[in-house]
Amino acid sequence: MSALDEVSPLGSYKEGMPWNPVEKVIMERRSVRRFKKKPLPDSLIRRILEAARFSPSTGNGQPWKFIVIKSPEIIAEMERDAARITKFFMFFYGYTMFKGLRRFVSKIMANFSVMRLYSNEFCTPPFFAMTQAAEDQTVYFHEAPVVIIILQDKRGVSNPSVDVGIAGEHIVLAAHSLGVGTCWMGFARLLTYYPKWRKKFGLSKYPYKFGNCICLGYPAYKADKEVPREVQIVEWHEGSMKDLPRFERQGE
Amino acid sequence: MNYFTLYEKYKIPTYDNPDQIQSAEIIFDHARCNQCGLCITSCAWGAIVTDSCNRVDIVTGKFKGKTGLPRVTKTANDKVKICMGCLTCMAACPNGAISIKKSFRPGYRLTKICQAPEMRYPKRY
Repeated sequence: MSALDEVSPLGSYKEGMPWNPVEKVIMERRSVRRFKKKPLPDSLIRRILEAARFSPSTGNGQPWKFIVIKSPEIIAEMERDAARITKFFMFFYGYTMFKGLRRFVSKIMANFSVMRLYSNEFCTPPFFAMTQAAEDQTVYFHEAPVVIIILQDKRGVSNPSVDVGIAGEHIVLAAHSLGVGTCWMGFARLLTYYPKWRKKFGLSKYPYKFGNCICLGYPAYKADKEVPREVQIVEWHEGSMKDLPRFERQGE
Repeated sequence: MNYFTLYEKYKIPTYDNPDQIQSAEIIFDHARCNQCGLCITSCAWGAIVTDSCNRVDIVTGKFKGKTGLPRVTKTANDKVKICMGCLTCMAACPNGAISIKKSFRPGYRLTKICQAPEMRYPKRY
């Protein structure tokens, strides 16, 4: 047995073997959107953050800053303000909510501004989520006991937003393996429109800018199950430079 | 962030055009539904509602008891069902009453280029 065979702490690969613990966490992790009121102990939060501290980053730049919010009062206020700013935006641009003349006017406004200029931030999924929030059909922070905001260091090496994403995913997977439910909550970005929150968390104070946000808590229901996804078509290059790639259907 | 050129931005379709926008349709098996409300809770943007309650009522704990039969909300012009097919509701459902009908191939903006329409569970290679 060579040294390479002993690299993995979870045993070596055999074809068709059952999921090992790490794969099981990855495959069965689903976002949890309702939490128990029970607060998380500090030691558990620190253990989860430890996974983020040891995540890989370009040039070992570690371009992140973590803000842990445990106060239900602050989280409730964040929720209220995020809903308020959503209502403000959707009053002008949320034309899929309206009918008649209001829809006509609002559609023109949306078509000539946010849909084109901020086409990634106002793509359909967040757009529909914001219209639902403006109609009081959904909440953003799910009444979670803990919210972790990840700020991104703008001076980071190469592409710091990828490093922030990796750190966040480490938090999510580590939390799930410890029985804590998580949900990504990018809508916390709405708080950057408030000077109050910009000042409180330093959301856009040099060198930081808003990265992402994760809600944590003990899940109030069991959501962990495998779900089907679309078959992915993957390109395999195996032969010489002249050969065409082979296309494999990943998942079948 | 400016990922799109001007022409690509111009080509973005309007958001209530079902051929371009709707990416999934989920089907509720009402015979197997025990009206627990977990699908409503787990929906990412509260798109699943019933006649008597919505997601805010359940998450904030105002509403208790049987929720009634769930359905997916539509936009105001009654054309687009606002579902993105993440299937978190399917994972949350204790009775397996939710399934997905994936015949939609949404248009320009939301087309998944490298994905085939068939849905498959994770496979142990």
